[in-house]
Amino acid sequence: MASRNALGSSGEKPGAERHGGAPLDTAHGKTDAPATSPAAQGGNSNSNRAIEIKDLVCGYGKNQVLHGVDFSADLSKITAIVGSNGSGKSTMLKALFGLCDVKSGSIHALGRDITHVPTHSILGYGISYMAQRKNVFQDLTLRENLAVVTGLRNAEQAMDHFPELLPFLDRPAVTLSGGQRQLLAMAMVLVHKPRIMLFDEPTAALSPKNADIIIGKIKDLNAQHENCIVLVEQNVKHALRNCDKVYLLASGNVVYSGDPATLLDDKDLASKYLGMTPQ
Amino acid sequence: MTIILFDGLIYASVLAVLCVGLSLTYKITSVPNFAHTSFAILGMYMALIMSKVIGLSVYVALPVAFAASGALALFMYYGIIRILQKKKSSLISLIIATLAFDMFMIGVLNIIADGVRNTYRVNSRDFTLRSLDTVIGGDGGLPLVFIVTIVLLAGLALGLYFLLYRTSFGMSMRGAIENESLAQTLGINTRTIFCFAWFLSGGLAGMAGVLMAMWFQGDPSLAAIMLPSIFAGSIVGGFSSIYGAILGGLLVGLSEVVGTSVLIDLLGYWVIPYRPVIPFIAMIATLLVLPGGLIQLITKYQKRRKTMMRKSKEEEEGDSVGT
Ligand SMILES: Nc1ncnc2c1ncn2[C@@H]1O[C@H](COP(=O)(O)OP(=O)(O)OP(=O)(O)O)[C@@H](O)[C@H]1O
Ligand SMILES: [Mg+2]
Repeated sequence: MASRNALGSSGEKPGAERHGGAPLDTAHGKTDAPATSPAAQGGNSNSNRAIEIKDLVCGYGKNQVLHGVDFSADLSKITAIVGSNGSGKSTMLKALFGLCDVKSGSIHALGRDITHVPTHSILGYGISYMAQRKNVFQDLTLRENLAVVTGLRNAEQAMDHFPELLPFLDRPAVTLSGGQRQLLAMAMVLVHKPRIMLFDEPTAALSPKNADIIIGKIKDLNAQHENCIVLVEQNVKHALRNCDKVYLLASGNVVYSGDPATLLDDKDLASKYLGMTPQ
Repeated sequence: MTIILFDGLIYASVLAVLCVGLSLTYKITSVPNFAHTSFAILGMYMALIMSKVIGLSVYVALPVAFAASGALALFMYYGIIRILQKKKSSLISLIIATLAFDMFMIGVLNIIADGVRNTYRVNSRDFTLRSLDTVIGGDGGLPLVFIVTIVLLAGLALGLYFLLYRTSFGMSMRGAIENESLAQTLGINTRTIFCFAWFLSGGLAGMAGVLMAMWFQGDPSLAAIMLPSIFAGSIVGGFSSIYGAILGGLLVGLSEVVGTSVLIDLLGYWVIPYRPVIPFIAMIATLLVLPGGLIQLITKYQKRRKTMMRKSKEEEEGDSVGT
């Protein structure tokens, strides 16, 4: 609790002084159209818009985590969310999937309001979500894990893009290595060919080689199917190298959104929030 | 001697069916349901009403009790447990809620018992329906209820295995039990699955109650009397394991009946009221010596065998490479 408070105060003050969410956005030439009504987002303003979050306030019970966040992501783009531990990255994705309590604000996906849609129905809106932890069923075998999403008959087919997992098909997922587990989680998430994919730290705790494999798969997906990918990443350099747009979160507020190159150029932000020493 | 065999096997099988239900709902809700026996007693009264009041075969009561007790369990889950869980109530308040529901149900069951007696002049306390059962092979032959009970338990064991390990619905169910929010993000309606499981658990208890009334006696007070035995069975098996529950139920049931009769022979009839001590001893011994229950022993043994098999296989392969 103490560390959270410390984080909160050190993050919020500079935000209030210099980098209030909105002013900063315009300062960096944010590309988002200032849509006024949700209806406007679907059609005329930006037909590529996949996700539109407006003024989102949410948290867990009494613990408010996001304090009025605006966020948008487009089709055929990779949008990254970065920020320090506990800044609310995972919570943002969870909010999209109805896994935390939304107090106010709205969430639209592909032009439809999903703010209060129950979690198990969200997949039907063309969105999939790969959680940061516990993203496969440990007690089930790989085949059973896939069968949960595909039905028994098509389970093996779902592995087409993941031949490296085939030898383990009938082993319990708990016996997989971290990287194999992430691959399985990806296989499960991709079954329904979603238009929007949310990945929460898919490369966490992986060796650089495995991390590259995972990121490679994600980029392939993006290139082939023109879908919208939202990537939460701890490894900032990795994220910034691979994304088209980046959001920087600090203590539940957006302190930067826009072009990844610009963020790296902003020595102030980079050193304050990303732990990069200015050269 | 044969009567003890029938007593023991019928009681043990009925207990095992009840233990399966208790463990199933525990796995899903993480709340030990102290009202579980009231589902069975409702089944007993369904049997009484079907046979003595309406005049149908007692076996008609099996599906009726399944539906009635299943509906009651569903109501308990959806109307009480789920609401409390949504409010993030503590485990203690959930347990107290199941106790309260049990007391409520004992009241309801007593009302049913008195209602049946006063309206239809049918004995509704300490009643038995044994005389209505068919005995295969005439006097001293095989009672039908014995066969039905064994078949129900065997069918339940096989059916659950098939459901949980051979259908994708069962896999979703296991998944939802392990990690509800992951299951939801993968598009599984966990609410439906849990409602189904509670209905099944209640329905099975109802059927067990019918079978109880056909061999032993039926009475609202059995709700409290049988509760320790069911908990003992589930705990001996390993509380959250379904196959452990079958084993534990059988073991506790048999040792209750056979143990009591052996003790009567040794010590005299005064031991009869102390019969409930047996499940308590089983429960305490398990918790002290083997907290994970029988299923823990079995999985340990299986794992050892698997690694041994893998090792010997590797050795073989090593040999063939060598030669
Ligand atoms: N289930 C929960 N219940 C209560 N508070 C939570 C829960 N999950 C997260 N939080 C709190 O919300 C805040 C943001 O957490 P979140 O998981 O979104 O951070 P994050 O940016 O993803 O961090 P990390 O990089 O460590 O994954 C933290 O202060 C955390 O304590
Ligand atoms: Mg996180």
